[in-house]
Amino acid sequence: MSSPSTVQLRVFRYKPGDPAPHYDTFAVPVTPRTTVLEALQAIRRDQDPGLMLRHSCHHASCGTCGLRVDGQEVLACVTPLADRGPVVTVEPLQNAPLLGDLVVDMGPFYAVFTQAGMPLVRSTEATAASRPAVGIERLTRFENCLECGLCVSACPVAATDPLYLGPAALAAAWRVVQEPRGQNPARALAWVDQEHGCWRCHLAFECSTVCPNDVQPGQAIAALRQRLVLGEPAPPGPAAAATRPAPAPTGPARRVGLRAWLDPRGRDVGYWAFVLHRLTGLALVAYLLLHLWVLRLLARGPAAWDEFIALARSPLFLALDGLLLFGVLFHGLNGVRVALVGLGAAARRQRGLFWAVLLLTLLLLAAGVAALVAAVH
Amino acid sequence: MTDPTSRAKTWWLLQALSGLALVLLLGVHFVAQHYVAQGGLRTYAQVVAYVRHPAVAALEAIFLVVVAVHAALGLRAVALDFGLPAARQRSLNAALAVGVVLVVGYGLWLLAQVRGGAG
Repeated sequence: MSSPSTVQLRVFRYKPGDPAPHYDTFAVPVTPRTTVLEALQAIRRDQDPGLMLRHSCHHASCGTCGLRVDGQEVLACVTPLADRGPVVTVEPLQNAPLLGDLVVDMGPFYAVFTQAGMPLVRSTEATAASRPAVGIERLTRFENCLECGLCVSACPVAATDPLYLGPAALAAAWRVVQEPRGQNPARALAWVDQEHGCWRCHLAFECSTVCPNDVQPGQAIAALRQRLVLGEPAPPGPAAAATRPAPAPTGPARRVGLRAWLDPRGRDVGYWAFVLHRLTGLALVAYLLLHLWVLRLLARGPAAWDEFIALARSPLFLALDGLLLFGVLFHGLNGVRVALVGLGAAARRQRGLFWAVLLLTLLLLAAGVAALVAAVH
Repeated sequence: MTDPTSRAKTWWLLQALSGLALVLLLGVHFVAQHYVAQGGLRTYAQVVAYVRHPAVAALEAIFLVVVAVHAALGLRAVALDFGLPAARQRSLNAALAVGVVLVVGYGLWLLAQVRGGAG
């Protein structure tokens, strides 16, 4: 048995009535097998009995101890603390009402599951003679959801849109569509077919990345879209008018907003594809307007146009041209990726497709810049 | 409250399809302007001669409409990402539609001016 070393645990603190959250740092002894949850329990036992945290089973089965460790959503009970560096930051989940310290109110999260059609209820009891249905394996992935909320915390859309149904509920709805057990799947499809339903997702796939049980909500959302586009149409009706319950007025909502789009900690390539797609998209809208404004010089005659062409050959302008070309190439190629993945055609290959998009962007950019330079000289 | 008569799917598909069309149109736009037109479009006379070709004018007009629609749908998606409630979506849609009409109208006016050899 190795002797314990010490880690500084920087813990998010907030109690109702506090003017603002702050962080407290605790020195905790750790062995190679110490988990984040064990360290937090040691702090509460030995240093600060007022530390609020949630936990239950200690073996990644109940989904109660979801937290953010160094910016990434994890289950604290199965996350080792060693090898994370001398200072580790622990924060509560995002995009849920904060109750205190590391505890968030899961009520709104659970409530939206009910609207999705969960829990599934068996119409008959299993008997000793009954056998699992053929093809049951493909359904168990979505049945494995622990309802831990990590996916909602990691989702960049949930960070900014309080009306978004969220990845967990959408995955649950897909589970209902797959095997309805007496429920009407059209109701679930109608429920997700709304602005703040499956069409709000931008396929960052952080939900699938952080999911501790490989439920893959991102792929479920892509499958819902595929069904809505290619399958039977979902009838509109009262079922589509479901809403996400308003958060209880307990504390700061921890909905981090735009900052979530730019927080690099613990994020995967799908997230960066989303952020880059958004930024290049907004930049290209600005460029479109600028482009039309510059082209007005054509209506003023040759002198005004030639003056602009002279300016366009300056090194600064050429550098901006290169940046523009990058934006156009990435946005265009990633747009093709988003369309394919978003319709479920390549949802499981989204990571590889991102690298292909980036590689092709850089190759075409190099060719374009070379052509640009040659045209000027 | 979400809108039970939402056209969310239609908007998403329109954005995806207009995006795919733009990849093709932009490719043609670039290649035609920088490679097919000999030595690229550099002088005023070259630009005027280029856009006077009916096929080019049609291509540029279609490109303008598609890019304006795609951009408007993109801005709409960003607004909804920030939780724009259903009650305000109608106003947003109207504002973006006006924007598209203005951009396309201005672009087509400019195209006509250049084709006419204005200036």
